[in-house]
Amino acid sequence: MARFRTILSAVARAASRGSKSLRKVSGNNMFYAGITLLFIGDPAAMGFFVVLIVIVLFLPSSSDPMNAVPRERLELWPLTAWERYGLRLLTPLLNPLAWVVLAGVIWKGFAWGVRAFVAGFFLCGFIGSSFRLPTPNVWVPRIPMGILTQMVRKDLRQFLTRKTGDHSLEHAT
Amino acid sequence: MISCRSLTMRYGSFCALDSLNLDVQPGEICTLLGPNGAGKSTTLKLLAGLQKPTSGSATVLGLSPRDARKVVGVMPENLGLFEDLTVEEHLLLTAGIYKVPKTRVDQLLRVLELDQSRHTFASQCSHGMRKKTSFAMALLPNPRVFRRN
Repeated sequence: MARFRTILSAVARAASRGSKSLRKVSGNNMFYAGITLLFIGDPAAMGFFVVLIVIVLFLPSSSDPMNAVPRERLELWPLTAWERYGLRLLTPLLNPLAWVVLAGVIWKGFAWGVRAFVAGFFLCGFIGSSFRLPTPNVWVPRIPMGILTQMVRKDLRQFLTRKTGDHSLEHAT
Repeated sequence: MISCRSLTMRYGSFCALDSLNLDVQPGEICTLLGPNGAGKSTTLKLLAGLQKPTSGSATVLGLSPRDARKVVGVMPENLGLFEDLTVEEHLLLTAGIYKVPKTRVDQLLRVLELDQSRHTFASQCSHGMRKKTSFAMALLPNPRVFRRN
């Protein structure tokens, strides 16, 4: 149990520092935030963008505290299966936004079906982020922009694929 | 101490490791040398229990690689550091997991000349310091087997 607490505490510390870091604010998130602000005077139209920004900001690939743990390190630790499951189940609660969503769902008194959908959405996301997903080789057009061509292609490819970051491991030597 | 028998690893149709037989005795230092794609990292991952072989077997100190993790120090290829933890916090975390006294942390920080940068975040460390931190984490539990890629 002490081992479990030690890891949980380190994950909480790393995730908390990471969430306060400017490194974690990606350009795409700022783009969605900007669009949402544009529609702030039109509540009906803003609803769609609010949903969009919530999805982008809450996607587990960018907000899962377990992302702070290098996957290879996690696998090397001599943890029991129950300790691993425990970490997987408890670490989402280290993200303050998870509590905000939970409070919002309870406060708004959503139907049980909506609550189940939200819970399932988060569950799928967190479970999904625990698996290694191969990065697909996405074809992008060769846009003639001189010396910027390869940079633009790189950005397009990043935009179209899921960023795996530190969690990506080579499958072969 | 380390024993591999017909250790084979395939990724689909690609054979990364083909029937490796290897014996490393206590006190021996074994180095795997080979061209890219020879299967060196795959061998180390199999011996660390990070992957399951397609066929064949491997034992470390008579245990399966997964069961031997408590007594094996591994320095991963990508160093496996938390970007937002300091050098000292990495060692304290490892000490907590392996139940090692804090005096050992101070000792390793001193021996590896990391004590000046103990409060530096891994993301702000030089590559050499990051390597030393990962090395210290592997050595901290005083492992009977040490592996690095």
